[in-house]
Amino acid sequence: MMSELALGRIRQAQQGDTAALAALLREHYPFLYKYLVKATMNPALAEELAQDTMVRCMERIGTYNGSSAFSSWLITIATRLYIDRKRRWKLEAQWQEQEQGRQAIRWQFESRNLEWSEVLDALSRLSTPQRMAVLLKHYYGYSYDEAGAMLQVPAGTVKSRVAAGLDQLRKELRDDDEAR
Amino acid sequence: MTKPGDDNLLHKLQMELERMDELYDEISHPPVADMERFVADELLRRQRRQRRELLLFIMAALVLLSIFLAVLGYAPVVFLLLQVAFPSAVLLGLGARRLARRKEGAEE
Repeated sequence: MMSELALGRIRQAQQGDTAALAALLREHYPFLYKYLVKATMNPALAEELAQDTMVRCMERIGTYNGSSAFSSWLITIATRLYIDRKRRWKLEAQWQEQEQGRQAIRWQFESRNLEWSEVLDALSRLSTPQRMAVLLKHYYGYSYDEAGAMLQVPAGTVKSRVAAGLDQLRKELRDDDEAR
Repeated sequence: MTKPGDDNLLHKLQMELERMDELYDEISHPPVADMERFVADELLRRQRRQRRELLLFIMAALVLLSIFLAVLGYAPVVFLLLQVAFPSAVLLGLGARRLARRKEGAEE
């Protein structure tokens, strides 16, 4: 449940209070950024999308009706912006972007002497629709219906993407085990 | 739908994603002043864009109205044909886009 403070800020922001809007966005920025890093597997793209999401949120703050948590509403906006952006990319550029993102995130782990695990590597190799479906369902705990609304596809499609994503993860991790 | 043995996979996934979140824990809340400037700049940009769009809308409306009146006065048959052709083109375009999106969704 949202705190009274957050609800108050949302109401003030909806009435045009820019300080309340700035405070609201500031408070949710780390959550939003962390979600986008996991969804895109690309820190630079995540930062860009986080900014775009905040701009879109400012434009649409009046339409937020409190039926879901404010953070879920932000995730929905961010997810749709990412999907739209991917639609516009040409296949080649998309691949390069994804590969660069993976290298960047891997470097961030290794530069802190942290292990870039097989699970994260396998997750980063999933197709974006499958990764986002797995992430929303099994990390953020949304139902298939909720994830479907965020991804703008039927719940059945989310279910099949999650199943295919888990199959792929299982296969990649098994292959890695056998290779050792 | 999960399969037997998936509990272990989902547990590992959860742990690794939590580890990834921890990596970005140092992403702190942006400074209040920066955020307020961001919001103020964005509002200003939106106001300017809205004014520009309104101006463009008024100019386009004037051009269309002039064409409408000219065609209506000089060639009523062409006018009626255009009345049918434009909505049909828009509807066909929307239908094609919907089909393309559905196909894209099925491929994913």
